[in-house]
Amino acid sequence: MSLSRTFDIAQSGLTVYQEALDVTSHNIANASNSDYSRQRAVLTTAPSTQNANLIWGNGTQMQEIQRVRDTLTDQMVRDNNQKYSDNNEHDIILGNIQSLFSEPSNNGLSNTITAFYNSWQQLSVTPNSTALRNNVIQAAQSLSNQVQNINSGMNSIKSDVLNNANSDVTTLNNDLQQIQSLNQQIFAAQNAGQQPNDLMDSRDKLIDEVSNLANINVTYDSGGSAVISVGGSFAVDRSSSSQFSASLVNGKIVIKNSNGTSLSGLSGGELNALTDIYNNKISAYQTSFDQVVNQIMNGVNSQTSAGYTTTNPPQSGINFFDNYNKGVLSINQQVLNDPNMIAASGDGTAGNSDIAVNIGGLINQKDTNGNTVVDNYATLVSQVGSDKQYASNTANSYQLLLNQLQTQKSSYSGVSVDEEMTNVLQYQRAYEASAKIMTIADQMVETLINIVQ
Amino acid sequence: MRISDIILSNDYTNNLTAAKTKVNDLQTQIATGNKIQQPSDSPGGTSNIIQWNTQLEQMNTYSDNIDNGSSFIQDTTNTMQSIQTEITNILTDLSSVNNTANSTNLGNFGDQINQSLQTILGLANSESNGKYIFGGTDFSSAPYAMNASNTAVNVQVKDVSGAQKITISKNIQQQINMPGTDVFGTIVTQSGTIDSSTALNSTFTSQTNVYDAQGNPYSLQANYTKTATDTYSMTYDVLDSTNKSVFPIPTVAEIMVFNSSTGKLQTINNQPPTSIHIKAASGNIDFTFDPTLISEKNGTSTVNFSANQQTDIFNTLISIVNQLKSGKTPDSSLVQGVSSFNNRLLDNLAKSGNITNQLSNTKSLLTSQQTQLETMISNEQSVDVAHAAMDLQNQENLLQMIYKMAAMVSTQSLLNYL
Repeated sequence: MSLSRTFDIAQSGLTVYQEALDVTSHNIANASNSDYSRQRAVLTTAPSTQNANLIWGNGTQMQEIQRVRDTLTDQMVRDNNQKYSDNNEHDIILGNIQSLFSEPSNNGLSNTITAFYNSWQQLSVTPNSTALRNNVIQAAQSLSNQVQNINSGMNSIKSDVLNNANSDVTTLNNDLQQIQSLNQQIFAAQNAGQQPNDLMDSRDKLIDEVSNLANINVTYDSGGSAVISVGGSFAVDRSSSSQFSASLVNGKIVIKNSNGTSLSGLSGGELNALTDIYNNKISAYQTSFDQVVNQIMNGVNSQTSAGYTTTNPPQSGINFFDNYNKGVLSINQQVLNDPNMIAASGDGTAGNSDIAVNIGGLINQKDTNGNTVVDNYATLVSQVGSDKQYASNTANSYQLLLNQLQTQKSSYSGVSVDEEMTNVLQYQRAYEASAKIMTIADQMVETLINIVQ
Repeated sequence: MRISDIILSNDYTNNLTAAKTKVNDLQTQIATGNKIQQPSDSPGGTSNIIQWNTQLEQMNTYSDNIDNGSSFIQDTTNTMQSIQTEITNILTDLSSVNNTANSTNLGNFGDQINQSLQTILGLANSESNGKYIFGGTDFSSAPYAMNASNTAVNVQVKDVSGAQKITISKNIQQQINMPGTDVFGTIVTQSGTIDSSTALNSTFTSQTNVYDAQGNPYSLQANYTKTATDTYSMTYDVLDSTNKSVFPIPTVAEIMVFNSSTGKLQTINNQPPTSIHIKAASGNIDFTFDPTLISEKNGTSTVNFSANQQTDIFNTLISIVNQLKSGKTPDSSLVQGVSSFNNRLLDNLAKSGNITNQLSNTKSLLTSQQTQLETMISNEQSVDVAHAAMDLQNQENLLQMIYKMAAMVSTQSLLNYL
C-alpha cells in the first residue's frame, strides 16, 4: 500500500462533496421556483480493490443527480388543471355576461321594462297629455337602448371569446412545438448518459400549461419522450407536433387538428370553456333574450295597430315599434316625430285610453307557456346566474383540490431551505474532513522524507 | 409530511386570498346594504327580487293612478255639487213662481233661472287636468254650447258617453268619469205588462218618440217575441222622420226572462236587469233605455215607454226661461223634468262617492301589499348589517393572524442560527 492511495481517497471525498454542494446550491437557488423539482446527490462508495487478501475501499463517488418527481401526482395535477381552467373560464366569462343585465339593481332591464309598461299605465289616466306621451317615448327609448346595450355586450363578449380561442390555439401550438424540441433534447442527453433534469422540468411545465388549455393524455415512449394527445387527437411526440386551428363554422367555433378534423373529444381546459360558451351558452341566452324582446314588441304592436292615434284625423294600423332586428329594437319614426301618433285610443277620441290600459296590462299577460315578460326575463337572468354559480363553485372545488395536489407535489419535489442547509453543513464537514486527511497524508509524506534525509 | 418552502408560501398566499375575499365580500355587503350583488350570488333570489320589484313598481303606478283618478272624481263630485246647488235654487224659484204674489215678476225669475242655466252650462264644460269632466272621452272641444241664436244647447262633440278607465290593481279597471249622457241625458223608461198567455212566437211592438239635443224627433221601437214560457226575445231600433234606421240594430236579441210567480223581470241575457245604452253612429242619439220596470201577467200586453224625452236639462231650462219671460208659469211637465234631473244628479253624486270609496279602499289594500312586498324584498336582498359587521370583525382578526403567522414563519430559517 502506498501513501498516494490516501491522497486519492481524500481527493474523491473533496470532489464528490464539492459536487454535492453544487447540487444543493442549485436546489437553494431554485427554492422559490414552483416549476423546479429538487435534485438529490446520490453518493455511493467507489469500487474497492483487493490487496494482500484484504478488500480496500477507494473512497466515494457520485452515482447520479436524482430528480425527485412523482409522476402519479403530476398526472392528477394535469387532470384537475383542465377541469379547473374549464370551469374558471366559464366563471369569468359568465360573470361578464351576467353583469350586462345589471341585476338586481335599479339600473337593470327589469326596471326599464316595468317603467315602459308603467308609462302606458300613466298615459291611460290622462291620454291627451303630451307630456305623458313623451314619457312613453322616453321609456321606450330607454328600453331600446338597454336592449341594444345588452345585445352589443353579448356580441362583444362573443368576439372576445373567439379572439381568446385563437390566442389559446396559438399558445397551444407554440407549447407543442417546444415540447417536441425538448423531447429531442432530452432524448439526445439521455443517450449521451446525461441526466437532463432541468430540461424535464421545462417540459413538465409546458405540459402543465397545455393541460390548462385542453384535456390531454400524456404517455412516455421507451426513449423517455412525452407523447401527448389533445382532445383525443394526436398532438406531439419526439418526431412531430400537430398544429391546431380555431375557425368559425356555421357560426360556431370549431377546433381542428393539422388534418382539418374537428376535436370531437374536447372536454376540458379553456378551449372547451370558450367553445361551449360561444357555441351553446351565449346562443341560448340570446335566443331567450330575443324571445323576451319580441314578446314585448309583438304585444305592444298588436294593441297599437288596432288602436287610433290622436292626430287629426285619427289613424289606425300604426305599430309602435318598427322591428327588432340584429339586436336593435326600433321605435316607429312617426311616433318619435309626433307623440300624437301613439295609438293609445280605442275609438279615435283623445280621452279614450283603452289601448294604453291594455298595453299597461300586458306586463301581466302570460304567453303560451304561462309566463309573463318579466317571468321570462327573470328566468333568463336566473339561468345566467345559475350557470355562473355552478361554474364558480365547481372551479372553487377544483381549486381546492388543485391546491392540495400542489402541496402534495411540493411536499415531494419542492425545495426545503432548512433541509438543503443541513445538507450544506453535512457536505461542508465531509469536505473539511477530506481536506484534513489530505493534510495528514501530506505530513506523513513529509515525515517519510525527513527519515530518508 | 415533508414541508418545502413553496408549501409555506403557497399556503400563506391561499389563506390570505381566501380571507381577503371574505373581507371584500362582507365590506361590499355592508357598504351596499345588499347581500345579493349579482345573479350568481343567489339565482333564485335574483329571480324573486326582479319579479317582486316589478310588482312593487306596478303597485306604485296603480297607486299613482288612484291618486290621479281620485283627484278627477273629486273634481267631478265638486262640480256636480255646484250644479246641484244651482238646481236647488232653480227648484226654489219654480216653487215661488206659483205664488200669485209673484205673478208680475215672472220675468225676473226667468232671468235668475237663465243665470243658473249659464252657470250649469259653464260647469258642464268644466275641466280637470286638461280633460273635460263630462265630455266622455272626446276632448276635441267643450262638450256643450248654446247655439248661435241662443235658443238651444247642443252637444258639440261626437260622443259624451265614453268611459275613462284606469287600472287600479292587477286585472282591475275602474271607470273614473261620469259621462255627460249619464249626468245631463235622460232615461227612456219602459213600463207596463206583457200578457203571459201570449202564444209562442207571437210578437208585439211598442214605440215612443225620442229627441236629439236639437229637438229632432226619432222613433224608438221595441219588439217582443215570446220564445218560451216567461221568456221573450227583445229587439229595438231607432228610426228618423223618414223611417230610416239611425241605429245599428243589435244582431243578437236581448233575452228577457220573467219570474213565473211574481211576474217581475228576472234577467236580461242571464244577467240582473240593467239599463241599455243606445247611441246612434251620428252621435245625435245618445241615451239610456231602461226596461227594468216591465212585468208579465195574465191579460193584455200594455208595454209603454214613459218619461218626457223631448228635452235634456239644458233645453228644459231654456223652455222654462222662455215661458217665464213671456209671463207664463212653466208647464208642470217641465218642472217635473227639473225635479227628475235633480234626483238623478243626487244618484250620480252617490255613484261618484262610491267610486271615491272604491279608489280609497284599493289604495289602502295596495299600501298594505306594498309593505308586504317591501318586507319580502328586504328579507331576500338586504343584509343583516349587525351580523355582517360581526363576521367582518372576525375575518379581519383572522387576516391579522395570517399576516402575523406569515411574518413569524417567513423570517425564520436555519440560516438564522448558522
